[in-house]
Amino acid sequence: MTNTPTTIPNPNAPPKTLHIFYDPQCGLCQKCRTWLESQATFFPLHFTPWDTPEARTLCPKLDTFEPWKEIVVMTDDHRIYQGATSWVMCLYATVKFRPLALKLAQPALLPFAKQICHLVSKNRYRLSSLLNLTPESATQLPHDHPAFGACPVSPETSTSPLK
Amino acid sequence: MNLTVITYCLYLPISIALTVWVAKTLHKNGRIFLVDCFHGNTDLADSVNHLLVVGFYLINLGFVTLFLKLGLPPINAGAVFEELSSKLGVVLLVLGAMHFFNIFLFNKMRKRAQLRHEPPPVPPTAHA
Repeated sequence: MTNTPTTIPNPNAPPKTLHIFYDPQCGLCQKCRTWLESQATFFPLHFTPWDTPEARTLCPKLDTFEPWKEIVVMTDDHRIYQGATSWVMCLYATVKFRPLALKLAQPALLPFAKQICHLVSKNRYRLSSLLNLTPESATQLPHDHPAFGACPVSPETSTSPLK
Repeated sequence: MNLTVITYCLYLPISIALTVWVAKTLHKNGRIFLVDCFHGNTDLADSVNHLLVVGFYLINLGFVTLFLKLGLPPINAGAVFEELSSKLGVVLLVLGAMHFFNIFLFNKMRKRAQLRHEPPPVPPTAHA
């Protein structure tokens, strides 16, 4: 899993597993994770906070995709999906919502899905706070980390969950 | 034998024959859908096909027998044909509705089975 494949995987092959690198400091992401975990899926989903060493082990190039901006998902054969396509892939994994994923992936709907996902990702902390969704962790990011500043958790309030 | 009994004697064999004909058509042509649904598992497809046909027979024959009673006894040969055609017309419509419902079921099962093997609907953003 940690080895980088030398050949480009077949994009039409259904994945065997899906790694979801989510933001542990976002209550909305946590809610989405709980919801996805409650769904019956065609293949297993693995949730890993993007800022953990485990995520780096699974995907050494993770930081190049800037997972702090928009959610990143990776298949077992190292295909990367980000933003709206990652959401489509998560829905595609579920038994109940696969037809919706196929509809959303149509050229007429995908641009709207991308815009909505972008807006939600950009305002996820605000939305979490509005919906009173508590994140699983609100740990402080290292100051030299590229995501520092992208998150509204300031160093003074970083130890308490977002309200 | 009065005209009412003659109507019954004509109604029942025609309705039953129509039910058998539609059921046999469903059984014969629905099999290929079910084999596709169950990924070539012909035993399972045949079993489901048989169960569906049994359900079809029960519902339709139940309806045909319940619908047997005539409102007013026919007074002449013309009235026998009128009664018979109205009864058989309703039976044919019910058979048609049941037939389309079965096709709908076959198609739904087939689509659900195909969904499992759908490739990812979006291309990857990148490769890690």
